[in-house]
Amino acid sequence: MKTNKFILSVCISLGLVFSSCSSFLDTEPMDSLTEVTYFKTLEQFQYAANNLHQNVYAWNQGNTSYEILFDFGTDIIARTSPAVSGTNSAGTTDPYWSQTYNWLRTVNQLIEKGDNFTGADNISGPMGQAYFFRAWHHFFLLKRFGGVPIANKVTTEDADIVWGKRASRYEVVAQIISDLDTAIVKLSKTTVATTGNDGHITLEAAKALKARVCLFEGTWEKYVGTTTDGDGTTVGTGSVKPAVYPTVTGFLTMAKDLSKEVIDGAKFELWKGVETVTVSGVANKPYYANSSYFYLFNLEDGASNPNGLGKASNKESIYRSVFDYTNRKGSMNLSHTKPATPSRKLMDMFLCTDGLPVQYSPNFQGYANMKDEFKNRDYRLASCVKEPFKFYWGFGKTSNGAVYTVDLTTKANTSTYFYSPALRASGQTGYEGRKFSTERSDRSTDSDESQDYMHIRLPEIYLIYAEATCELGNGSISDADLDYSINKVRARAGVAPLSMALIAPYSDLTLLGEIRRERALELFGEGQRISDLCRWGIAEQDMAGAPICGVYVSYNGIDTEYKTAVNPSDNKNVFNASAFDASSVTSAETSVSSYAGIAKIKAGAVISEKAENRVFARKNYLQPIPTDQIKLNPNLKQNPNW
Amino acid sequence: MYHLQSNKMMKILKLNLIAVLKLRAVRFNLLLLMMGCFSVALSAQNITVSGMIKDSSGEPLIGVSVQLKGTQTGTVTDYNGKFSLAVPANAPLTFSYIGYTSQTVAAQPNLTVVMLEDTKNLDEVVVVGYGTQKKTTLTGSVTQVRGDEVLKGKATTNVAAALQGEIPGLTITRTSSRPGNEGTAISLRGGISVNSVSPMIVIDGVDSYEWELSQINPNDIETVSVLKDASAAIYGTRAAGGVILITTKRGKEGKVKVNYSGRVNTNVVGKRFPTATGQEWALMMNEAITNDAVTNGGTKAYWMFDEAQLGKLMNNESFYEKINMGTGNLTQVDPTADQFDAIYGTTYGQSHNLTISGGNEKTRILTSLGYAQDRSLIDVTYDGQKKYNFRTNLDYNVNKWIKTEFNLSYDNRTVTAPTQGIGQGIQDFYTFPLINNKGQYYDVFGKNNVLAKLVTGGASNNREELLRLGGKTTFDLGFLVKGLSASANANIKIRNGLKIERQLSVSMYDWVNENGIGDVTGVAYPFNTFKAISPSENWVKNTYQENLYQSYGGFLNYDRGFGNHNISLMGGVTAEKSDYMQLYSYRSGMADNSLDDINTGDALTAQATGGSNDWGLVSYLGRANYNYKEIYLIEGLFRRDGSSKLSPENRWANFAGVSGGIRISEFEAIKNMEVFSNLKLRASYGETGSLSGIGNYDYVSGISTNTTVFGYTGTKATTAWISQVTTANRTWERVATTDIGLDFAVLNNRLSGTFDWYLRENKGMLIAMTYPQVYGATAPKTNSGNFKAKGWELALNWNDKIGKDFTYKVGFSLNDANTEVTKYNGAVAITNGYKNNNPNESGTSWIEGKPLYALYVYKTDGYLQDQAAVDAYYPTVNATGSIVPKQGTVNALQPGCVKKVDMNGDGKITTDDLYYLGDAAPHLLFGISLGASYKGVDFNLFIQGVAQQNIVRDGTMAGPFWVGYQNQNSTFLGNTWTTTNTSARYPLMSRNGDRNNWNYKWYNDINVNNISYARAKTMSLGYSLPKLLVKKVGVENLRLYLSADNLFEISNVKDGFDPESKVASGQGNMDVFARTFSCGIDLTF
Repeated sequence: MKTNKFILSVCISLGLVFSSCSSFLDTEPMDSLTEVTYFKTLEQFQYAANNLHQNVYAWNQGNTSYEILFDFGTDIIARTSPAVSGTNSAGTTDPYWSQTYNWLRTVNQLIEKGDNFTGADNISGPMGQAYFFRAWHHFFLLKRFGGVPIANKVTTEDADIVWGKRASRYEVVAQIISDLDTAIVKLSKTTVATTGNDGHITLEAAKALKARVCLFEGTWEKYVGTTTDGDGTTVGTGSVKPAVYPTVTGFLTMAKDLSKEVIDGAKFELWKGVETVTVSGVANKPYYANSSYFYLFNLEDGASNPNGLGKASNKESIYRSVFDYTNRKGSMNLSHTKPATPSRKLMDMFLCTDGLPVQYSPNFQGYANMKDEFKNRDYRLASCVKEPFKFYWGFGKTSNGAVYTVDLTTKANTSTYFYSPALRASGQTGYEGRKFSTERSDRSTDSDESQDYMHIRLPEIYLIYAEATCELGNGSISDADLDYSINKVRARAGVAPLSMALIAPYSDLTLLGEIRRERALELFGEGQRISDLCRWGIAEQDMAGAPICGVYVSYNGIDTEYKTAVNPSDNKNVFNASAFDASSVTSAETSVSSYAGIAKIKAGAVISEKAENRVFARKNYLQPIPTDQIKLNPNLKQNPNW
Repeated sequence: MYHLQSNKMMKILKLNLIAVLKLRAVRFNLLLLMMGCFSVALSAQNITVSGMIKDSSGEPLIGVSVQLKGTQTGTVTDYNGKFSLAVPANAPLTFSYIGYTSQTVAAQPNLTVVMLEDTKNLDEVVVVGYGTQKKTTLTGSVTQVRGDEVLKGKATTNVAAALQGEIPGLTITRTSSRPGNEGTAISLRGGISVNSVSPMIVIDGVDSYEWELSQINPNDIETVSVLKDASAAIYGTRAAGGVILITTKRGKEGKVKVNYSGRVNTNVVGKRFPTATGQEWALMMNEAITNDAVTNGGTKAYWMFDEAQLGKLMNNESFYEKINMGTGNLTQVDPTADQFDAIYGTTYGQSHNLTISGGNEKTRILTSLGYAQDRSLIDVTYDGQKKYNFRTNLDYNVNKWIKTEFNLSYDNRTVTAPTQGIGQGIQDFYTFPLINNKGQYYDVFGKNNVLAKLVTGGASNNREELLRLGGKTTFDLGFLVKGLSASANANIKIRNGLKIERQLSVSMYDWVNENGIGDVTGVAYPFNTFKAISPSENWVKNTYQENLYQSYGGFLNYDRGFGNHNISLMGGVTAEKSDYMQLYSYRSGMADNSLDDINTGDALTAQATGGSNDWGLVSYLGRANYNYKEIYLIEGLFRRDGSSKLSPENRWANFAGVSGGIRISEFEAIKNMEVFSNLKLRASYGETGSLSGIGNYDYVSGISTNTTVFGYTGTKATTAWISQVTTANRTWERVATTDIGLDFAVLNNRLSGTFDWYLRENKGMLIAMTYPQVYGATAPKTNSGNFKAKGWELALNWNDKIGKDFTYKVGFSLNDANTEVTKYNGAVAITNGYKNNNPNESGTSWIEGKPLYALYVYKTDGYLQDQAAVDAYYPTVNATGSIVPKQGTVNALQPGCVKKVDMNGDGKITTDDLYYLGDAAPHLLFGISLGASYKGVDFNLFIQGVAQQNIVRDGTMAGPFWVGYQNQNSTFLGNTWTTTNTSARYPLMSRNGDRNNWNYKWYNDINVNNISYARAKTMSLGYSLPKLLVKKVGVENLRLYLSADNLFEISNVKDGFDPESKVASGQGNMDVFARTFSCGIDLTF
């Protein structure tokens, strides 16, 4: 009896152990949803599409994107980039390659889930946004690398896309156009009106992007042609075109028509928030006049400009990435680093208010005194560049922000608010950029600037219209078309309208050249310059062989004020002569552009990047495919001459 | 009567469990501790033996086991070494005691037995998986050390750190000597995968985390046993990295024994990190800019200090001037400012342990209490840990057939560390005082005042509480089948972790002169306050973690001899489940610096996240042992594991191992030679698995969500994405280990040793293959690689006595392992630096055919000694695509630069010219132990070291002006190329990024330190008061000792670092290793 009890108890205890354990193996994620159960509702698709909106190069993508966001290395900016100077060699990796394909995978996952979606909800909105981003990312790759593998489905480890050849640029363009056409159809009910232009991709944004792509590829084919394609077997992708493919005229016509659609839709308008200051209490109101262009790029809440305007006043933006001081900071250290600092060339590209360039305008005041070249100029000049010995709010200031009720000019000449150029070491330009630099010092010292990043603005649409029209007209464009488009942009800049009559007296000025000039000025520091120079086929002429320069310390053999000026805040000379040897200052007149309408650089300008480092050539039109990727997949052929 | 007691037992158990059960609904299969009432009758015709047991010095021995041979009848000696036992006359009585040779003596009414110390320990019992085995018949490669021998007296209370070098084949590295933050890593036999697979840690039969080694009280540890070969197969899926079994002390029969051991220790700075003084920095700066001026056409590019200021620094002169080339503020500059001395110094720690143990035939108990407190070398603020340990191990024999064991332990450890400034103090050069003339923290730029950060930057408190509860019941079923027994166990472990991190914004101030005026022009210049109030830097983060682990097991054992045939069988089932959850909260903008509660933060900044997961493992296991006359030994092991971490179709796997041995010394012919006291040949083969690298739910793709903003006022909107690519086609890494070993003892056990050779092969190593990036994601890890490790271990011990009182021992161990990634599916581009596990990177690349930590560098052929050599070199290596700094620019190569060899002769230097230099794993690891005792005096020395290792450092201190605007590694000063030192150890000093890349950052063979070192890990001198003396005051044993940890090291590291320093040498990575001196007392009464 006792024995039985004993055995029974042993059996029970062992049995209990064995029986309860099999359930230990059935576990499921406890703190996240799974792919199996997701993508069942419109809401979930929109959440996934919301994520795609973050996957673009805007603020907040780390310092890697600095170079491409701000036109670094190009002719109009005094910030270097080996890839744009042309001094780089093929790298083993390229973050833009890997990152973009990672983002494309996410896009394709959403499209694939949408294609298999059988629910009742209408998911065309998020689907259209996904198609937009697939086009966006492929266009980015096209500009950087030319033809690339087309990622139009979620790839498996053994997929052809992963291991195959690069598609030709024409196949990539066809994919982009096709995806944008799909996006335009699917976004027919997702418009600026329905979204409130809240940063989501809209029908208008898709049209605007398509216009941008068409102008890009139309002009590329016209001016660059197949020179960067390679043969497709040993280098590059070859020049295979899809059976149905637009002509150059076709592209340009699409660009013109689409930009007209966007303009005529009248959903957008140029931001003119700080033409004059109207808010009472602001001291020295004229001090801030005509600076809409400056404040537009720093638009946050009411404290970001003297007119107390917030982001809602921005009707200019067609596609923007939204940032917010509380919920999504920019984290780019913009005001400290002053990414958009101009080169000598850009300074001279700005027109005088009469619409004429510095070499022709009677209004131009020359270079003798530091402030002279700022007089009678395009308003954008003052919005982009600090004027010497002037007072500014902003980075490094001890107050908590701009206090517009205080008259800045009453401040003492200490370095706190007072801007003095500094030419302490060779390489410095003497100019300091302002674009993207907030006046709110409280938001600039910790990289907390949180203005929106504008990917597509209305002025670009005007510029696309003008350029496409002019190209279609073989260099001519009617005054009516100019007034319909580009002159609206010039009007905000306080520059006289462009017309055939205006340039007629000057044989080296052309309408196309002036349209291109306008594009450089309006879109300065917005990441478009290098692809513009390339698609025009002039990047070598405009970029190579000439130094990047800064201020004139002497002009026409006469020393300018920069040589002698003393900074009253520290009683030091602005110019540290010992730091600038003969090779740091230009010694002869140098042409810096293929367009004769742009002023030549004369002797006496300080050099920030020497001519020998400016070696951009035709091969640099396309960046090299990262060599690790070629090793992994030998079917990828390197771009020509890398 | 038994009934009554068992009910009491149940109550105690229940009481303790209730607390646990209340915490949450636990499927806790409480053991049924059912007991019967049985009694035993002994046969008649007995005599009563009264005896006394002594050791060789005549001291009575307490707790010696006295047993009638071949029966269960027995007792133990009491406090006076006496016993009495009723046994048949002349029956053989066996006396056994751990550490002494067992004896069998015929029973007589009065017996006095002198036990002899067992120097060979051949009867030692070794803890193996799910049981114990006699060392004599052990066939696996198992090393066991006794806690009291290797852990006691060491100042560190981190068991992992204390075991460093003690167990051949077990590589323990640490990156720091900061208590609570030692950064220990354990690997067995060179590792077995590119995934770092650590050994499985099992404490008293319960699966444990590696960090529990720093949690547990070292004084509680009876033995540490390491299963290194097929013997680990009994642990199946998780044993690929070997198994470390820790067994805690249990009460023994005998009078109650109380042991107190206490220690105070002082930590002093060992080797400083090699930062330059202000003067050295100036000299290096001057040398670099002078060198750079050569290619600049003669202009020295001064930085921060102008020529005159640099000159003053080089002359060790202080000054108060505008710096930053005249554009900065007035600044106090003092070349004698020393950030190192300002923050490091001597600190103190202590530890106390009280252990009470005792028991009788029926009940045995051991209870211990521990307290330890220790600090790092940072003496300006508290950086250290406090530990409280409690343990009770209870054994209760319900009756002759039912034995129970009960373990309860509670550990509480709080690690406190400054939130800011740890590992810093190398960014600013040592030219700026840390305190200004107003007594404030001084900083001119960069907010780098390390003292201010450490002292006023806030601290984090990480408290881990661990409650372990375990019960085991063994049923002797011998009455059914002789030799049969069954056991069941249940364990739960509750870990609560609460980490409170507090950061305070640090105020640093510029210099002001005596009048509060800071400008030569006389204009009032308000001194700058950096970050005095920045709400976002003033935060609290609370992280709460809770982990409940349960495990259950049921086993059947059969153990019986049939004449010369001995059979032992074991079979069982185990099941484990772990549930984890965490909560994290954050607020910034704290109302006041004195309060750390999150409620005092700005509610608008609040963040909270959660997270939870679980996993389960069910296993069936078995073991069979057979031996013939204890000469021919064979063992088989089996385990079948099912894991919730894998998809149902791949969930189950089987593991098995087999081993055999021959005790050659027991052959008559060998015995007659009288040479070998022991000679055993062993061999084993077995498979183990590893789940490292597999997440809990990796076979399903999760959806991650977050938020972004839209609209004009930053409205939050949800974002969602598929978080990772998964695969269901994945299973365990499987490691096959072959081991051949030889154990021997000669010269009457004076010299003994063990040699093992092994081969470990991982077939189906989990690796994330590198796909072309067009794939767009990190591919999931699949069983796509193979891996191999080969190595050997040697341990030699010499034990002897000179005269009556002087005993001494010498131990030596040496081991080495070589690894190789034998298969890796997927091509990879070779870049310079570490491959196959980069110690600095999480993502890394794998090279087939090369070992772990393979090191790729450029081969150099001396220096370019003059401009002619530079000019001649360029055309040979400068073809398109070359990484050579551009000729004709300021970045160009110049004399003193290395001459990288164009290995493939393609006219350019590219990554294709990298060559495999060797691996960076430690090789020829050795341990030397010396011990001697004379009368009451004992001396021990343990030396641990590495005979060969390649190290190439990364970060600020890895090369001169690696970062051009930071402090420098002064060991480069005077050791770089100059026109007068053309065969210097290192290339020329430069601040040019391109030249530094060429000479230092793109590693060359000459940048590799081939190091070896020996470190005096522990040295101790003890004195035990004569027993006869102390006994008069009721004390059994009293030992006083002095010891030193890490007293000295002999190393050939040339770049100024401690041999154990990290590869990363940048700001935030600096650490100083401590030397620790302790004095302690060990008292038993």
